[in-house]
Amino acid sequence: MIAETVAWFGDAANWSGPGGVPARVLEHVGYVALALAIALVIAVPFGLLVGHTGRGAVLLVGAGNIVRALPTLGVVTLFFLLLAESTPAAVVGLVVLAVPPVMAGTYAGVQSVDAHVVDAASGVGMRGMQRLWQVEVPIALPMVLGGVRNAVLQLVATAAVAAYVGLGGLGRYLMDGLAILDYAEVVAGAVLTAALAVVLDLLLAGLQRIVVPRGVRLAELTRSKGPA
Amino acid sequence: MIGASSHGVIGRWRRIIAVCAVLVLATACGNPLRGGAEGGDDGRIVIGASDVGESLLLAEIYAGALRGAGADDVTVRPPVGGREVLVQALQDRSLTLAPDYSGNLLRYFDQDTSATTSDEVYRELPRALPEGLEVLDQSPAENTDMLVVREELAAQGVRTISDLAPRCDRLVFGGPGQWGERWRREIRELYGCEFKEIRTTDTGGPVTVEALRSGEVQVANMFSTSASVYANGFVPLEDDRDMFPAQNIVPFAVEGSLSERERDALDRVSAALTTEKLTELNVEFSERKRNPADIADEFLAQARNR
Amino acid sequence: MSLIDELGTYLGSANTRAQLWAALAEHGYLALLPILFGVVLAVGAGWLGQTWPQVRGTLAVVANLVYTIPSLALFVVIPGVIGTTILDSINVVVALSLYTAALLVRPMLDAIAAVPQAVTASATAMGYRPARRYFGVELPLAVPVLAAGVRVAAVSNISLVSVGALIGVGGLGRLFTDGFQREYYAPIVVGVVLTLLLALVVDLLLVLLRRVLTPWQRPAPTRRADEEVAA
Repeated sequence: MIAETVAWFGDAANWSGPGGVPARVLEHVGYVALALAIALVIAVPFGLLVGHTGRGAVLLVGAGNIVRALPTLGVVTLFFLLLAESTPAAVVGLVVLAVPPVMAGTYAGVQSVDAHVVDAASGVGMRGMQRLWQVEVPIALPMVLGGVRNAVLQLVATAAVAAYVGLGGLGRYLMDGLAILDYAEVVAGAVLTAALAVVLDLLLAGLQRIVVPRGVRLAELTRSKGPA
Repeated sequence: MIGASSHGVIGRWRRIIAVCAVLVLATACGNPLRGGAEGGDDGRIVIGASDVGESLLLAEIYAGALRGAGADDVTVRPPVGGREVLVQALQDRSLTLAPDYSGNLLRYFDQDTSATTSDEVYRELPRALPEGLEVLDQSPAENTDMLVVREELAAQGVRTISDLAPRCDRLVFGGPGQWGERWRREIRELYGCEFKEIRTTDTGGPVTVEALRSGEVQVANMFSTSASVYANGFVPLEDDRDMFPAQNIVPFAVEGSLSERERDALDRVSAALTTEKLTELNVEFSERKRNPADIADEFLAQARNR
Repeated sequence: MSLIDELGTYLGSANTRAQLWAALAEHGYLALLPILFGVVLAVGAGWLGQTWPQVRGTLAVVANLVYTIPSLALFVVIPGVIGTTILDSINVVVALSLYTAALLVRPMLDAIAAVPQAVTASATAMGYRPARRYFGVELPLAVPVLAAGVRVAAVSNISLVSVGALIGVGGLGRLFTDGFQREYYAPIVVGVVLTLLLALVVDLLLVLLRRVLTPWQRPAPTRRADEEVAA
């Protein structure tokens, strides 16, 4: 099996044209990026609003739990049929699954901001919006990105499942290879999909580390070094 | 303090283990898939289906017929994949039986066969099949691959694949994932047709229909008993050089897995099934969305009363 | 035809109802059996981590890695790796067991590491050997953490089983492939609703189970009364 897979990767035919690896990877990343962008536009403002005002939190958490239980294949097929059976419509199914983790991350991030910090910000004369953008958002950003990481893992996996309804991307290797029991193709598809998920996750993990505001990092440093 | 509570904890831990043991037993006893991996000798019959819609319908018909012949442990598995999957599953005995199509089945095991008519194909099949697998009587019902186009293209005088051939290099084709590997060379050699692109849609299902309807592809591979070809006004092209072989429906089984009585029951069902009847049943299944087991029951009741 | 009528017609068939029960039972089995295996794996990983603290980092990285593998990719590769037949339901069980374990290992390691030194020291002083201390003291104290992880894993497994329909084993997932093939909403809607109900019921049962297993965490009766008044 391993030899066949290596041979598959070595075959130049698998690297060119619309069915080649670069094209498929780009397609897959494209679906993930598109769905994530739409999900961010929807989820971040909501998460900020709920986190900032504290209103609607129960609803948000409940909705998040329900969506986590949603069968991805069901969502993908349902949206495919609902939206005129066009392939791009499958992306809408992806968005539905990506919104809750981003929203939960944003909400949790804003929630986690120390009440004393918010008080201090008000104390130095910051208004609501100012406080949100200059204090709460920067401090919440790492947790927002945590939500984004969860969403991206979900998206990479679901975009592969969506190959079932005719979406391109790496899922094609899995579905097409499976249909004709071409194990080399299936394994290659699986390796590529898993690798893509890992790479994207690592990139975001790096980003998550970078965006921690300097103040927060310093505070944590002193806290961890300070007396127990 | 800690000591006392930790003794209580140990007692509780025993309880946890007991609960887990009960759960394991419960799931083991209630396992709905018990023995699911074995079809064959123990009288258990597992029927498979490919992802061609009507395959599931045929599987339910076989299941009904076998139950009628006294088999009491008959399961129909959810449809999965193409012929490759079914052949593998029959060979490893995960399945006992699956409906298949004579021409494609023959071609699967013998790439170079020149048999095209029903009789030729059926005569050659037993020789081509691997050890341990067999086909029962074939049905007069046929479901062949066909290339279909939209009305606009047909109106320009494209009625046969030969008519299509000179335009192939400007046309995008849509079909199942395995189509290119099976037919690309064939259609080039026989008709001189080389499509601009061969896209994977699905096996004559909604993705294919939508791709052709929207113009994403201009030619698609569909099936002669499919209700959606006519429902969408697509035009089938005549296969004027007999590229696609005859595709009679035939039960494809593990050798020696069925009793004489069960084989007779399947033979009778095959004899009663015609292309016309199958197309009707397909309309019930894919247009009227009825449960395939219900359709099978009705068909079998009718067949018995004749 | 409206969706309500469509659902009526769909559920009107006795064959359909029988198939739904079978699919539901299969779904529950495929989602929950891996929880048991996953818990066993995670308990084993916790034991490894407690015995050799230096492997904790590796275990956590491996768990994270497994968790990033997309489900369909894992499902299709498993028969090739462990040599099962392609249509065997064990493939789905193995994949979901791995996910469950991956989800539980990290919190499990953290929970074991978080057991106060004083507690482990007293247990050792009382003559507990490492194994007995792990199963008798540290593991029970990690149950709340484990229980929280199990709830997440159960819900996620119930959602993931459906993907198995693409490899011919998928419980309620079969309804989605059927609905898709026939452009038929009824089975898809029924499948989604049943999946959500199953997740809800299982989650409630797990909450109950956790309460049975961790009586020391239950609030004292008087305090609970206070809370009710407050609520």
